[in-house]
Order: sequence, then structure tokens, then C-alpha cells
Amino acid sequence: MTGNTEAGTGRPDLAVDRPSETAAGQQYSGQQGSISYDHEYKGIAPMDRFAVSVGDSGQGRYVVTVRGELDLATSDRLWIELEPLLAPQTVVVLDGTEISFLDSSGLRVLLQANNRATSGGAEFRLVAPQQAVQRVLELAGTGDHLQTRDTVDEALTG
Amino acid sequence: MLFPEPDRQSKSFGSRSRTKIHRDIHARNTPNRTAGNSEGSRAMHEDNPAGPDRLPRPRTVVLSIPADREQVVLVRSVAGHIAARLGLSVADLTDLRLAVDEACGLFLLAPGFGVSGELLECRFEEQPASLTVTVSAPAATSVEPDVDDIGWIMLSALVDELTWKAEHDVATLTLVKHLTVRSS
Repeated sequence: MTGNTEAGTGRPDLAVDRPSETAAGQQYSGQQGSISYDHEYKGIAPMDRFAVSVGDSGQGRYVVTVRGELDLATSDRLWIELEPLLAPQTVVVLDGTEISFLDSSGLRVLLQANNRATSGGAEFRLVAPQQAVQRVLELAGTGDHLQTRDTVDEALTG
Repeated sequence: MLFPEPDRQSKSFGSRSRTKIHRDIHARNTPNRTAGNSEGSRAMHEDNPAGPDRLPRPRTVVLSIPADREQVVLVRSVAGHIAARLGLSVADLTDLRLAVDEACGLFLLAPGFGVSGELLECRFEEQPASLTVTVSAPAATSVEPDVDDIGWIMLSALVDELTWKAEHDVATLTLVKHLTVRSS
């Protein structure tokens, strides 16, 4: 696979390399998935306060699960996972129900994913009804820009 | 572009993990205490939001962090504990943590900030009716708020007063949160 792929280059063919049978919620360790970012973060202790994983739901639909604190230190790691998924015809659902903290850096990545999806013929949907996320959408006045759903199942079906 | 891509060029400074926390309680409010025993009684009240009136005022907490995005969790943590001790509601506590995060982000996300090993100083000053948080650092040429940026928009909505100042080679961002008595 492409374990040494430079993440974040925006190569559209990355999505093709993605394993099709990845279980939902499975975590990329940098060895089992096609996208590795371990090499970029060597020397920094793994942060338990943030985790992102990608699950393939088939038919070009992906669920990106984010847990913990999506802030200025961790948001780049989300973008590295999101960007290659946002190819034409895909549906990317961000399951953020376990996001405990969100700031403008994290929101910027969500908006950027939405922009990329809109301009590239993909769908980006957010599932994060909790206060930690809704408060930020409200403060930034950007809630209308994002497609939100109450559950992952709803987001996957439309 | 309305929402610029995150700056992936910035690197963390993992080796420079020096973090200094010191507390300064004004001596005139604790005339009968020696340095030794005031430490003990301070600790006793610190985690007691129910009894903030027994603590001497005004009180100032200063936290200096390396210019490293990973260190902002420390500032959020301190802000959360201070908010809890002041008896703020959960919503206000959450807002304060977010506000200090955005304030630090204004500096830390500025291109080139921190390359000379600058420290970011966060000063929490508790006043009877307000909490003032001052974030300051040696003025980097590129640090300046963009009022159209969502971070600044959020910050403006989160606090009661917001002031940006750059003079004498120091850039200072001051947030003031008015304290109200919790009704419930």
C-alpha cells in the first residue's frame, strides 16, 4: 500500500487506494490503512485527547469518527484524513458526537471540508448535536454552511 | 478565500516543553500570614467554589507557555479551574475555556510566531465583578487580529470586552468577562 504517502497533498487517487473492507470505527494505525501520518508526528507523544478513524460504509460512503478535542493542535490531523476522501461522488459523514471541545481551528477544517465537497461533487455531513459543537457553530454564525444530521444513519442515507 | 486552509507549515516545539506556573497573591490582603502557612490555607480553599469570598482579592494567576499549540490545553485547563472556583455556570466555564483558546490561537496561528522561542503569557486577574485575561507575547511582526476571521468573531461573542494592543514590542490581547451571580 502507500504507507509512505505524503498526506495532505490532495491527490485524488488516494481514495482508490483505500481498503474497501475497513470496519466502521476502525482506527488507522498507519500500518493497516493506506494513509499514514505517523511519520509526520514522530517525536511527539501520541495524544489520547484526540483520535480520528475512518470507516468505509461502502458505495463511496465514509464515516470519519472524531473523538476528543478538535482544536488548533489537532485539527490538521483531521484534515489529513478528510481531504483524500472528498472525491467526486463520495459521501463523507463526520461523526463528531464524541467531540468534547471544538475551536475555530477545528471549525475551519469542517468548513474547508464542506467547501471542498461542494466544489468537487461530494457530500459532507456533520453529526454532532452536542453543545460543545453547536455552541461554536452558533458563535461563528456558520451553522447554515454545514449540512448537519442527528444520527450517522440519517447522514448516510441522505 | 473566506476560510483559509490551516497552516500546516507550523511545527511544534516538543523539546521546548518548559512550562512555568506561578501565582501571585497580593500581600496586602494577607497581612497575618507567613509564606509558609498561607500556602496551606490557600490550597484548602482553592477547590472550594462555595467559599470564594473567603479568598483574598484581588488575585492573579500567571501562566507562561512555550509557543506550541499542544500547550494550549494547559491554558484551557487553568481557565476552567478558575471559572469553577469563581462559581461560574457550566456554560460560562465552557465559554471561558473557548475564549482563552481562541486568544492563544491568535498568537500561535500567526505565521512565524514562536520561532524565536517566545513565551506566551496568560494572566488571569480576578476582580470582584470581573475576570480579566491578558494574553501577551513579544510582538511578532505578523501577529494581528483579522476581524473577519471566525476566531475573532467567536472571541468577540464570548467575552464582554476585547482589546488588542501592540506597543513597546509587546502584543497584548485583553479579555474581560463580567461576573454575575449564578441564579440557579
